[in-house]
Amino acid sequence: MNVIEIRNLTKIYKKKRLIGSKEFLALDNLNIEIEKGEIFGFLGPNGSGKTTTIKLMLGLLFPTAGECLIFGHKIPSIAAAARIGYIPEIPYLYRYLTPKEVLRLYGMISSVPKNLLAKNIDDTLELIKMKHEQDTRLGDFSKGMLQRIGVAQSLVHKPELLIFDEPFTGLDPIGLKDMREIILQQRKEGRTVFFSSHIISEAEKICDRVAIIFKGRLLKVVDMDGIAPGMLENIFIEEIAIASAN
Amino acid sequence: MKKILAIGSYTVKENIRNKIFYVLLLFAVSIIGVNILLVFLAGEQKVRLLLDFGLGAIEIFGFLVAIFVAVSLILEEIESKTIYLLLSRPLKRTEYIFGRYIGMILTVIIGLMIMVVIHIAVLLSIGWKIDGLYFISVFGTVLKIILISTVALFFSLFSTSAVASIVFTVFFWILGHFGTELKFLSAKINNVFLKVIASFFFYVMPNFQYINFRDSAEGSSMSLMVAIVYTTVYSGICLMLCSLLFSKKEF
Repeated sequence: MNVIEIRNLTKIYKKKRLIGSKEFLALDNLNIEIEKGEIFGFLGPNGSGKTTTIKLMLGLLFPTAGECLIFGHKIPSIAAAARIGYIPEIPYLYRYLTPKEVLRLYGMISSVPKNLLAKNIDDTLELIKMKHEQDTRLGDFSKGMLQRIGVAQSLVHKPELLIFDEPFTGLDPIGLKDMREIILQQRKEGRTVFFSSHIISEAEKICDRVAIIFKGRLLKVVDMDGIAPGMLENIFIEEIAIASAN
Repeated sequence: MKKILAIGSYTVKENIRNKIFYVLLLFAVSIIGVNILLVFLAGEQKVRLLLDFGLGAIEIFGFLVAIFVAVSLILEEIESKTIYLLLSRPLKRTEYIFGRYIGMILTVIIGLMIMVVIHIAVLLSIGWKIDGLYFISVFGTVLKIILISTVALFFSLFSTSAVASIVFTVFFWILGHFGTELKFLSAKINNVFLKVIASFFFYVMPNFQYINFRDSAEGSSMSLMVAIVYTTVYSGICLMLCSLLFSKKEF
């Protein structure tokens, strides 16, 4: 069963000016299907349309053409959103709230039943090893700690699909290892993980499949079982070079 | 409804922890300062002056709190991108707007109530006897501040700049006090174009004269019901427009 179906998805940004408007094609006729339980890497250089795709999948942007279906629901969809956990590239969190308050807020908005909310919050704080800091305001936290709260908010409602935007960017080696483990653990628990990245080596270690995107166009979908270890970077560079030459 | 209340409650927390109520300290200092300055006056005169000054100050400080809370309410959340984590969840955009609005109105009312308590304490200390008209006047101020907060929220969604939103809101606040004058002007002007503009502003601007109990508290024939209905209808229309604008916004 496909968890994500992206069909002919196109996004053109229109920048309004005093006279007329300027258009920019950010995503060009994208088609991807992702199955349940997959770890799917969405790879591309900066500015290739990765974040635009994720925002379209979350209903933060509206497509110019095409559609995105998640769990069979056309986005934007409240039913689909209830089953998605999202981590942005930078943890955009309320600095004046404590971890417990943040998780309570997101849990309530994600319709977690009242009798489960406290347990979910405790479990999630335990998972990210932040239980002892549950009543400290986020404003007092380091970048690494905020990143962990970012992970926690995406898991508090026990979603079936996780969408991570550049989860490895800015992490130190220990942070990278922790993030890898979290993603692998999610798959073990039956969840589907979709993440964008430009760090090829990390994607190669954990993905079942990756898609390479450049200037809004899908260049190739690679099945990791079908390539030799260490080859992904070469494939990536080759595909980008061919696309740049065209 | 649970989601709306959850958003409303974090909005109140956000505003209180953002130290927006520091402006209330200014109010307290100004009221106590005026009380000290009026040491040469006695009895009735002093009470009268402090009563009028206090009511005026409550409105001005309430307006300041309202304008800054309302304008930054959603703009700040868009700039800091915290809105991504809310709107990517099973939350309707209308629920988000209503939740934020309820939180904003609660914040503004809490601020106004704190000022009223300070004002009453100072008035009682100089021998003021509690008067029902005072509370009607304060109620009018609350309605005015609710109305202008909604207008400010609308402008914050309409424009992408906080400064532009503040300027538009202040413009509406000022012109909103000149409803009768605008009507008189539109009746007197012969130039059709100017007549249309004056009429347009008369109908579009909030007319605070329906709500301004402070200036006409004594022997007022103004109806509380008219004021409540007017505030509800005007704010309701503004809120619907906010919701419409927000539903088309991309992040």
